[in-house]
Amino acid sequence: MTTPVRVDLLGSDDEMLSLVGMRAFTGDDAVGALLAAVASAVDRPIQPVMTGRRRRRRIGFGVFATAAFLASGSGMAAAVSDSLPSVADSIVALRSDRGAAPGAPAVGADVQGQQGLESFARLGNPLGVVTVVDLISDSATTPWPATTPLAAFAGDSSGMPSTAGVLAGSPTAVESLRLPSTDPTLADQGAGSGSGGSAVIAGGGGANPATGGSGSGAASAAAGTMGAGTVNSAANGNSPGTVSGAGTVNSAANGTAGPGNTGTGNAAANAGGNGNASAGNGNANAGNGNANSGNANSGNGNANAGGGNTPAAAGAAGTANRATAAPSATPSAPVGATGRGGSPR
Amino acid sequence: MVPLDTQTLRELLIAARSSDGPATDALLARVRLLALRYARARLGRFGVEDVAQDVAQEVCLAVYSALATYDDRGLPFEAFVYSITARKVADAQRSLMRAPAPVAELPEGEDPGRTPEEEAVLSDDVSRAFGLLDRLPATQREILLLRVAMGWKTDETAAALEMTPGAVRVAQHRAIMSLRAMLAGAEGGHS
Repeated sequence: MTTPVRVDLLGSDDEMLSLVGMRAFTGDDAVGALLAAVASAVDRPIQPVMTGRRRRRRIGFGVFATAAFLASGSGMAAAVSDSLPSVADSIVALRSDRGAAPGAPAVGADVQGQQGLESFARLGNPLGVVTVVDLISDSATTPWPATTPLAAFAGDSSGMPSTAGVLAGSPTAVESLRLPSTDPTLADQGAGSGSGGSAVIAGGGGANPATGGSGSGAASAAAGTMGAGTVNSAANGNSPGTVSGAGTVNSAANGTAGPGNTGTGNAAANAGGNGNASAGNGNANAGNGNANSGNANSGNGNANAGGGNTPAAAGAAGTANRATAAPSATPSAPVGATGRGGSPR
Repeated sequence: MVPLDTQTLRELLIAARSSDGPATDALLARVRLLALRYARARLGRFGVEDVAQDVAQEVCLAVYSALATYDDRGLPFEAFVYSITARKVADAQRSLMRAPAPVAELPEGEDPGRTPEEEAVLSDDVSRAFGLLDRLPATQREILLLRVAMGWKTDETAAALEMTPGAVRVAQHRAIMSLRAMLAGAEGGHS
């Protein structure tokens, strides 16, 4: 049943609402004041409000974001980053190791131990450019840190890796290869080296006029990050090889061949690539340098010199191999060939 | 001649239909003010002034488009404006409930109006008033909004809601009585 309404109250309420609608209400009635506040509010722009639902959502999101960060790998990495090896520590692995590497071939190991890599520069490399870089044995057992920037292997202008200035206190492979050598026993040799999981340096070889063609091949690859690269050395003359590579691998090879000879140097550098350089007279192939790295972690070095066609021993995984040519190679080629192996970038 | 600012909406409508000039401008200005107030009253809890402005603009466009074809049947023009505004506000509310609400940038200048204390008190009163209005029946709440927010008289409100003026007076009286009861209950609960 509807409650009866007094007419006088109807009039008073109507008058109050009219005053509020005209924004002229000045009474002390609670409802009138409340409605006057509404009238005042609609005359002004709406104030931005943040509902409780949004507040809760924001707080919830903040808590969730914090918890997610703490539980994530980023949080853990930030907590343990102080114990990570530094880049300087990682570069130590690039130091030249002239010691016998595990699995290295017996042939020529003594020579290598005496002379190091200096002899390679002597072997008919007309450009005087470093052919091969280094032999790394430590890296066979010490994986290259994945965090090491590849810029540490920044190459020189010829695309060779330059470790000068980085390996302080120890002659770099580049420096060693620039040194002259007069040891004739180092003729006709090719070397290849591989280093698992790190920048791989391939060996080089040279040609000795006395023994005929020789060559060197080189290949290099860096750990797991290298794309395929192929290097074709000169077929005739003393032309430097061209380097092409995909990704970050650049290899180079130089091959020189004497008159009438067809020298070919090929080096393919990739993760598990091969570097081949053959030069010499007729069938003489000189120098094969293979370096495999990356997942294979193996290096192969092959060298065939003159007519000997003596393959180099295959290297074990992650070790450096240095292949030597057969010293009894037929000196059918007056001018040998040298191959310049590539290296990462 | 009666000045434009003192004419009723119906008088402005007749003048605007006869000549597209100052009368039309005055009519649309009045319509916009009404629509904006109503939109603010209905959309105030969302905190979206720009949406209220958009609603007022859309109402003005709709009224202006309908001027040429408006069929005057003797009803107050306010009812026509209200019907358009109510639907525009309903559309805006529907959109606001589904879309994220943008946050307006803070004003850089100093507000010459109320002090922060007065703003806080007013904001509290407004929020409380809208909270109580939401608890009223829809018809009573709409009557109070039209009377208070849009400043309409009883007969204008009755025409807009298609009610008799007597029914509007009774309904608004019941609404005020309910508000008093709510306030008393709220104060009793606080004490």
